[in-house]
Amino acid sequence: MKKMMSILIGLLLVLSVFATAETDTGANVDETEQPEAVLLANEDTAEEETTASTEEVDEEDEGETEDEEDDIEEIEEEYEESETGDEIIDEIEDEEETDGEIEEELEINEEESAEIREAIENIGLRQYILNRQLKQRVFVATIHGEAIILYLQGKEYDTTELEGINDELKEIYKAIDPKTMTKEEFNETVGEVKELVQEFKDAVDELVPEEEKDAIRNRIAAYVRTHQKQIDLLLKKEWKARMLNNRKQLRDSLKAVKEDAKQLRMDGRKLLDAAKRLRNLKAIKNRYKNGTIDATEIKQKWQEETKLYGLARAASVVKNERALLAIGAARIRKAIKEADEDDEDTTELENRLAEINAQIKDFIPGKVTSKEAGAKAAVIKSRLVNLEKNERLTNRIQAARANVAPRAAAKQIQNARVSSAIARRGAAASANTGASEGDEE
Amino acid sequence: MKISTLIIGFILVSSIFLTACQQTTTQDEITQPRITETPEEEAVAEDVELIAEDEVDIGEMI
Repeated sequence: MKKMMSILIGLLLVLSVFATAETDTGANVDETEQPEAVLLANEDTAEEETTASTEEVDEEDEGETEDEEDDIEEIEEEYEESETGDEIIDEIEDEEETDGEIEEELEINEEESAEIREAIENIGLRQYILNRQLKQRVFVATIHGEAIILYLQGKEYDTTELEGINDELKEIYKAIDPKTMTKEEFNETVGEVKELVQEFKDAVDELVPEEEKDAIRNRIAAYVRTHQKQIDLLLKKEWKARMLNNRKQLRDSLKAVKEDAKQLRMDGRKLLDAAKRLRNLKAIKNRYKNGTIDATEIKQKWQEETKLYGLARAASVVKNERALLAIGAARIRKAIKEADEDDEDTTELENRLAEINAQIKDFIPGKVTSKEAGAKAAVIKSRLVNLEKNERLTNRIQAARANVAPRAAAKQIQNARVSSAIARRGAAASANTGASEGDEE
Repeated sequence: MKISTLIIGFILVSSIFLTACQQTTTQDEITQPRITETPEEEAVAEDVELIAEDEVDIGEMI
């Protein structure tokens, strides 16, 4: 009995020890992570410690280092292959339309253009469009009213009340001047019209049984057809103004995003994923122009894409800095490899580079913000520069630089050409906008 | 006899409890990243003020 008990207690103890050990391993994962600030602040100490711990490097660590080096190479390659964004910037600039060009495409004649300009000065384009929508709706309501009254008169109903309401609606229609009606007047009129329409509807409900209403609706449809020209004219005027407003809004919004992208390029950064977002925005704008998407749908898509551009833009700032660091690290890695092939002891250098590589690998959007990217990259870069100063590497790196210098010079010339082309286009676009604004005035 | 049954019961309960604890820890490690990555957004364009064709509604006459 006693034996059995001691076996069981023993088993229990073993189980508890095993479980505690497992939990500790899990918890210690965080502790192994050293804050970046500590690594950077204790540069010299870290170097000394690295030397001391050199002998302790086992096979597993070597494997990790190689993995990190591969990752750094991947960052470098990915960056080299990714798009600069110049192409999409150029495309957007080529497609950019002036106010005059949009008006011409929408077939807005001089008289309409003058009315729109007057409205913009008085009440703004948005209010003008709402006024035009209201005028068109009231006109259609009076046509429906007439059709209903005519039908009911044919059936010898008393239509005095309905005629009175419809006359009031006609008066309101005449009084609406789309280019001068203010927001307050608009709201007041809408309230008044809604009340009259409801009154008319209630009066019809009192007079006519439900089963007769389908016949009235058919009569309305036929009557509307006889007034289709007037309705279409009102609709067309509203459509032109609305399209002008929406297309100008999209053009200006895309222009703002493009200018931001251009600034990134001017600062020598690639757009990376932000280029894709810019391309999507351009596609959405063109879909609206072609009439394959309506304003409600486009508004949502536009908000989503501009938000995604903002995210991609911030990420690209960080990724650009990271890529430049990766390029620097790759140069040092090559020099270390050469030294190793010449039978020099490179263990310490490899360890120092591995530390820097780990920091570069950790230099990602989300962990580093676009605002702090420059400063943080400068700290890592100073570590790279320090490493480059090592006597085993300096000559090798200089020799490698001398080899790539002609290529770099050619690239620099190309970049300068791109920048000046962008600047020229920017100046031309400003001149165009200035001219179109002048025209408007 | 009674004591041994108690001990066996205790061991069983303990092992279930310990196993549950271990699983929770593993789950936490999987679901919670060690460093919270918050996407950063830079607003570059103001909201577009698009107008739809049906902004004004006055109701129906019938």
